[in-house]
Amino acid sequence: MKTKNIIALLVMILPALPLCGQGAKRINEIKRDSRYIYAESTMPEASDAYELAKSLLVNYAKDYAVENGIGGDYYGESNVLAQCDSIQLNRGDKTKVFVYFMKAEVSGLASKPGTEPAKAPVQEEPRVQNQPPVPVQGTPVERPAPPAPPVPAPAEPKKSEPASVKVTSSSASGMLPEAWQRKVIDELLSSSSFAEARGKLPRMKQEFQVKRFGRYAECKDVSKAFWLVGDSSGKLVTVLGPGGIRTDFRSGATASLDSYNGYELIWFTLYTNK
Amino acid sequence: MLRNKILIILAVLLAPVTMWGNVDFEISDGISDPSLKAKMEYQASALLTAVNRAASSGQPVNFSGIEIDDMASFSIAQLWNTARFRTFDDDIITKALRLTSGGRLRGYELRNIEVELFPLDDSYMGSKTQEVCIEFSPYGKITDFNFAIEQNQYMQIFREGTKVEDFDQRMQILHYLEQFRTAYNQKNIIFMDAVFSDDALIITGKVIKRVKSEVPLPPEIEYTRQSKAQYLANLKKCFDRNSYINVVFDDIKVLKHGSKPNYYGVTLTQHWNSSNYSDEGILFLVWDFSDEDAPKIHVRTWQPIETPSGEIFTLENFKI
Repeated sequence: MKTKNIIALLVMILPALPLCGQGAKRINEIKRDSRYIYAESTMPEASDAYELAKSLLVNYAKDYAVENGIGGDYYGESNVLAQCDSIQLNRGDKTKVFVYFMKAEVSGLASKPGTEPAKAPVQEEPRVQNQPPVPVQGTPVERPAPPAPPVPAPAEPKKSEPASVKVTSSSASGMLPEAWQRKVIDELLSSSSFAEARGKLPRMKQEFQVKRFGRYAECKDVSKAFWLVGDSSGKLVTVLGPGGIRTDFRSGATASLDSYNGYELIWFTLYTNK
Repeated sequence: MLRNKILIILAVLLAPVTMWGNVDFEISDGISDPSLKAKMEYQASALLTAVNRAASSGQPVNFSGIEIDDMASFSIAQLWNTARFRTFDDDIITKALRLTSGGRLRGYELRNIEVELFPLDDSYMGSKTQEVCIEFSPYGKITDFNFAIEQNQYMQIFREGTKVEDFDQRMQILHYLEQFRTAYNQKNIIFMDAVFSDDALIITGKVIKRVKSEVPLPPEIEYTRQSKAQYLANLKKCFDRNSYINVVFDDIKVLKHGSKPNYYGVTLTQHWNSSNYSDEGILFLVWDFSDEDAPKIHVRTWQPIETPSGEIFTLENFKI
């Protein structure tokens, strides 16, 4: 292959790469966010998928209203369909349509629009770059997507000594219920640097010990995560356990994540049961 | 040198798009026990990861470390003989459905898991996008794995149900229809032998070709009756002759017997595609759920798609 052909290929592919997975990622964000009600359908024809997804959404909305004792027509069909948005994904020779709405918007209890910029509905996720979008017959109501759920922003960087209260257990990692979980924490703590500890997480995920990990901004539930804590010199300071008052697995003391403002933080979760 | 560097950059950038690695699985709703939920998430994650890795490497699926019933692993292995498949997503979130029978919890089901098929036979006809459903015991062990019936058919079956007990049995009917359909795709003669009762009535219709006439006449259909043994022998020959079989069920209607509450009549359109043959026909099945763990088909009829609606078999045509 000639060099200039390869460069031309790179130029074509590179812009599309960030889009790969964007639609699926947004769908999962919504599924994880309890403020939304959603439904999905995958059918050979996009229009059929859209109609079925809307029908399911209306049913789920009614179920939600009944389960929560919400009277009136807030979650009635016309309200739900007027407020819902959709995301469409290619699924090989079928199309997936995901429809959703925010409960607060439908019930009229929405707070003032947030400062986050409204995102345009994600229409298509090219699995292979040369697949054109499939038009949906019956255009869904065009509205900007609801603002993204608030992500906990790191506090102003300021270093402080962690508060400590001694725990009485013999070994901090011993507080974990499973032996393999204790082994994971001990292995992370044995790392000579923060980078080395962070580098172990992908392998631990492959081995079904670590379930997920990521940067601070990507953490959906700070209280449920473990944390790798690193300082500005690249040293691994400690590993913190989940909860409001956390276990510092290095010292055995209890600590708060707030005490590590300004430190490098990577969150991870463990499988709790195998 | 520059060309090699560019090729390496290309490979690195495309690697996340092309490699099939771990599948993250999350159950968003449907299970209140956090321990059971975590276990099922792990099992589903491990199974789908094993499937994706096998699809990537071309090897059989490795079930080690996965708590899976023999029937479920056999089901996957049978499907693997005709097509590889892998998930579209590596981060899957879905709700768990409770499966009950007579008020008793009999397990859970995870649906809306989309996979892409890679048939081993190039002449494969049919959609290469399928949904799978994974069934679990009440304790979180994987007990079954099937290709799901299309979602609109699934919803249709439940819209026709009216009572809770009816709902439970419709879930069961749906499950067994999915198993039945998957069994064709797997060429699973063992399942077919188990699901038909020993005295099952099996009728196949054939359109008789008429001499051309100026006045259009309704099709003339000749019916043949087979015993279970004859039917299975012919089916085995069909399985042996065809490198793949792809059966799709459509337009499914479920009707409960008026006086025998465990009996259901199911009418559907069957689309049959195999390497040597394709057709469409109307299938009618009488299911007996007296033994909920092992329902039986007592009647199976097949009629050509052009059969006039007044001649399509129903529960009323058979004395049960």
